[in-house]
Amino acid sequence: MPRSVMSSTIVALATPTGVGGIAVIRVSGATALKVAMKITGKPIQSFKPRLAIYCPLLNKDQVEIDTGIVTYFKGPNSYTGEDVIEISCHGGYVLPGRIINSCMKAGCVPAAPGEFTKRAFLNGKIDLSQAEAVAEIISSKSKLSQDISYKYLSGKFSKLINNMKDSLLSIISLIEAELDFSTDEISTTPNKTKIRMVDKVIEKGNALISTYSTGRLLKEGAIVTITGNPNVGKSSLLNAIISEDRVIVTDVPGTTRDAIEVFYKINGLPVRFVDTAGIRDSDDKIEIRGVEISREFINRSDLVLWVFDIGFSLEEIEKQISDPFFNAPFIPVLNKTDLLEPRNDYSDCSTNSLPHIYNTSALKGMGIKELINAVYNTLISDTLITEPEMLLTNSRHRDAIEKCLEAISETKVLLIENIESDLIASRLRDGLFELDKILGITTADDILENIFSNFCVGK
Amino acid sequence: MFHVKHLPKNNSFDVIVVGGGHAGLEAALACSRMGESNVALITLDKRAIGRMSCNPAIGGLAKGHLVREIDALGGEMGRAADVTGIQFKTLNKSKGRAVWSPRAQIDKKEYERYVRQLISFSNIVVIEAEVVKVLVKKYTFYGVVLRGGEKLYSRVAILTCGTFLNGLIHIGHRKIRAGRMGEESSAGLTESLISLGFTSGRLKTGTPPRLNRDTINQEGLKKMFGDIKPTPFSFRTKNFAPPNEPCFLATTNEETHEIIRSSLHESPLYSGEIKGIGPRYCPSIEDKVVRFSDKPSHQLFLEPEWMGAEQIYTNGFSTSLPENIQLKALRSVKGLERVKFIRPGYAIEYDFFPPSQLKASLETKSVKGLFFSGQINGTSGYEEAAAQGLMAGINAFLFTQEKPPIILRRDQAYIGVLIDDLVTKDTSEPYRMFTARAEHRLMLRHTNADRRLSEIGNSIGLIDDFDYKKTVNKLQAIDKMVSFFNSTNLTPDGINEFLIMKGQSPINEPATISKILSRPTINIGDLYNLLPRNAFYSDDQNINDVMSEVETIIKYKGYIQRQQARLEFLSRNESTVIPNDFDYMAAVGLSTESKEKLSSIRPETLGQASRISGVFPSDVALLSVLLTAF
Ligand SMILES: Cc1cc2nc3c(=O)[nH]c(=O)nc-3n(C[C@H](O)[C@H](O)[C@H](O)COP(=O)(O)OP(=O)(O)OC[C@H]3O[C@@H](n4cnc5c(N)ncnc54)[C@H](O)[C@@H]3O)c2cc1C
Ligand SMILES: Nc1nc2c(ncn2[C@@H]2O[C@H](COP(=O)(O)OP(=O)(O)OP(=O)(O)O)[C@@H](O)[C@H]2O)c(=O)[nH]1
Ligand SMILES: [Mg+2]
Repeated sequence: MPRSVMSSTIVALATPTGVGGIAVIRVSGATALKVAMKITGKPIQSFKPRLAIYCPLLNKDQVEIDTGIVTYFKGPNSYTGEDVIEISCHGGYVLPGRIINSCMKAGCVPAAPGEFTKRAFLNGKIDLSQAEAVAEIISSKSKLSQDISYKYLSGKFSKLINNMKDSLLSIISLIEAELDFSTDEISTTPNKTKIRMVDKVIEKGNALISTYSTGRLLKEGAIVTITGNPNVGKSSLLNAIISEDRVIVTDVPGTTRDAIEVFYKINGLPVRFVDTAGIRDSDDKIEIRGVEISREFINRSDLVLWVFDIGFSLEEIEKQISDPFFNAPFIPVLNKTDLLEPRNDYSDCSTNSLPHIYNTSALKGMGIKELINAVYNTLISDTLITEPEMLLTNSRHRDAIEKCLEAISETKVLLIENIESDLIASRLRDGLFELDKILGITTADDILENIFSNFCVGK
Repeated sequence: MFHVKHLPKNNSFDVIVVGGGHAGLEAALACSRMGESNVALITLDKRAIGRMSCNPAIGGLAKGHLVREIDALGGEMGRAADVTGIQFKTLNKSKGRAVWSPRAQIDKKEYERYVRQLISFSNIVVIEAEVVKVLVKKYTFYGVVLRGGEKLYSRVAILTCGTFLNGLIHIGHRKIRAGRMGEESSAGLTESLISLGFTSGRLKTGTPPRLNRDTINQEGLKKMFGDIKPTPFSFRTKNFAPPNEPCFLATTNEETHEIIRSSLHESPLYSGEIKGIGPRYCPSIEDKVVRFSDKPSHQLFLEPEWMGAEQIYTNGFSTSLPENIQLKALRSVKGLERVKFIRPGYAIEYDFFPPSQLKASLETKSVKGLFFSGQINGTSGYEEAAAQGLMAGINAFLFTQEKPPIILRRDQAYIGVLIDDLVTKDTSEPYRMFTARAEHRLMLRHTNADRRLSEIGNSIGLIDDFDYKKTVNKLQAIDKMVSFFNSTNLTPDGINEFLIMKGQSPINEPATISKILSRPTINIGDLYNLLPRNAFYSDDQNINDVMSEVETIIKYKGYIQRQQARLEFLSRNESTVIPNDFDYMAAVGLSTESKEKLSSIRPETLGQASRISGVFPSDVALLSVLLTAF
């Protein structure tokens, strides 16, 4: 047997390079324990599974360079399923590197990106959707999206898919049985019953799919674009929302020329606010391009803040918002209300079916809180009717479920028309296959490689 | 001592076939036909060659596909059934073309007579004797020892011992050593094979009682006929006009069930006396009564064992209860009040050799030149046995010619599925063919077995050029019609009236004939009158077969494409070869269970590995990584 990928013991830094006071180095493979002995100079019996020990850390010339905590996880009860040791040492750019060198001297090879997780997957510790979740946890931007990824990692998502698979399998079995046994051997199930069963699976699938937009929103952040005429205070409004002077504000109309994206969390919900150039006709090439970009962002937005200032009359605003120039949901905002005479508030006037106009003063910080709440509630209510147990966040998963549903919805038609059941069975298997893809049971190697190569080293 | 007229000098043959059941017969015929080779067929009872141990029928669900494939490759079972069948019926007519399955009631006596005649016209030397030992030197087969000590020599042998190895019949608590009722069992051969390092196991199967026709009151029973327009099994059968002998339908009732229930302790199946594992899909009447206790009655098909037979087979009443209980239970059935037995039902236990010890050629992995086929490999059924016998025969002959074996792929034939399953999967119960086992099912239709396999049959000399030419003509006629349908447009003017009449939505733009035909409720017969006559012109005499196949090809196209896309995705591993000396035990990361399974089964490709039960997908993924590094 030649030296294979899996027979090597791998090492990598598990924490970000240079950041933080403590760094964690992870070693996995058959000789992990030997590595631990070499780099600490301690005898083998010092290392008990799941026991953290405080010990010196030696460089490749056996000279003590640090003290740290070494924990031994005995395979298969470890992250990768192999013997693993985790070394916590002091952080920085230099020291962890020297300890990694020392591990390599002791026989380790550097881990490829995602190799720890790949091994965990190959050793049957986690399924494919769980492996993907690890990548997501690492790269996730918010606490909420981390929570979702943990749900994946804990196998909750796999359970849901398995549950759908089981339901599908039971329908397939029913039909297969009728194909392979004559009516004197088994009793047949009426098509009506089968259709009901198919409907249930479709229902489950649709429920999952309907969580996708929320799931994606939570993972990637909702896009909220701020638009309106030049100089109405769009940039000022953004600064007020994030309570930070991030965007340049001047009294010259046309200050903002490019789209500026600012990441901000509202109650944990990640939002990407986009400040854009004010929309107006212009001869300036840069400004024309800026307006084009604004329009592109508006069309991709989950929500638009449409800003006016008190230079607009109420009638004018209502006229515009009753016939918006774009297609996304929006909240109308009236800014610079600090300049209004008290009791001249526009909001009292809008009584018809048009959206509520939010009154703000970016300058004085008035109405900002209310606006933020409105943004949050609109984003959440559009997508998240009741908080589902599980949110679909991965487009690969959504596509698979959609294809599965497409296949099995077609079988419904066939069942109603009483078409040949070998065709029905085949379409149901098409559906099952899509679900299999999610769990990685049947995924071809190249997809696997692709998924794993998107990991960062050390996980 | 055995007596043979033409025993060659040195007792030496090209091929030795042990067993004259359906496996042995196909094997011997294939070998002798392929090369005029000098074949010895050793069997315990000369008069029982080609005997149907159990029901008087051939074909049926999935098994009918096997027979058609055997025929397309140049095997004998289909032709034999066509000549000796007394009632033909295509099953599953309403469930889709891929699962249509031909089946026939057979005249058992005629079948045996037909087979005997074939043998007598061939150069097969039949030897009535019992093989007790296999001779092996340097992992290579070289001969067999008969009871009495005589030795016969050859470079290859095919063992097809069926249910005979240490066969033990159970009727109630009575036990009889036998290979089949009325035939001696075989002792010693299992032990000889075990001493060579083979592993054996124990399985069981059962058969129902045979009734005396004259004691059955047919008045109260429903007559069941075959198809009015019967279709033959063989692509080569001409002038087909078989009889249509009826069977009779009887039904059990609560009283029957009560009699059986109260005697369960007398059934060796339930008292634990039978150690072998029986098939769950072919349950005994005891099983049915216990497992489906809510069913108030079960159907019994009374099938004549030959034309005008006084001996009737009780399909659906397989049992190992004591004879008196069997009789009492049957007499509670309407029409059988006065019934008498010709022979009671019984169960039989026998040795088999888990087929993971075989290569896909059916040659054993550990002994060169030794092939196994039939029930000895843990299968059940005539068709399964014959299919393996044919392949073992073909490959044994190719072995003598030092040519590579023919291994049918899973997307090519049910026979490919059967053998691949056998050599890669664990057999915990007797293996029967099901259409569900064939993931390429939509392509493996009984109607296109000729397209899939005739070329191979012709290339190895089992299908003669005349028959092959006929097949090629038919396939060309089909292809021509399909391409005409694909390339010829129908106009809205020409077709809409018809579509509306059929309750279908009309077309706005011209559409190809194929497009119209692929609509679920339109069939080719409907189009016949609407299309120019030249669309249906064909040299082939059987225009109906051609039209039906064209219709299927067009209607199934989309489904097959999707099926194939799915399978292709899965099968990228299929052809990755695993080296012979691959060390699974040293593969870090494989689960212990997989290591053991893989080490003992030694799959030849990753595809095979992935189908071994107990080997996880993650193990296969790991293997594929290891192999790239190999
Ligand atoms: C009681 C019973 C019930 C069955 N029930 C069913 C059923 O319900 N459904 C179903 O599909 N199938 C059933 N079968 C199985 C079916 O009959 C077999 O699968 C099929 O016939 C096996 O064919 P074969 O060629 O492998 O072996 P067999 O037909 O059993 O032939 C074995 C041959 O080997 C010969 N032989 C054996 N040992 C030696 C030796 N040492 N030396 C020389 N010759 C030897 C015998 O003489 C015989 O010719 C049943 C079989 C039996 C016996
Ligand atoms: N009084 C008052 N002035 C405001 C308010 N908000 C913004 N301004 C002023 O309005 C002017 C324009 O503000 P910006 O935020 O640059 O406006 P903008 O919409 O981003 O303008 P462009 O980027 O040029 O399209 C600045 O002088 C701000 O100080 C407000 O609420 N009250
Ligand atoms: Mg601005």
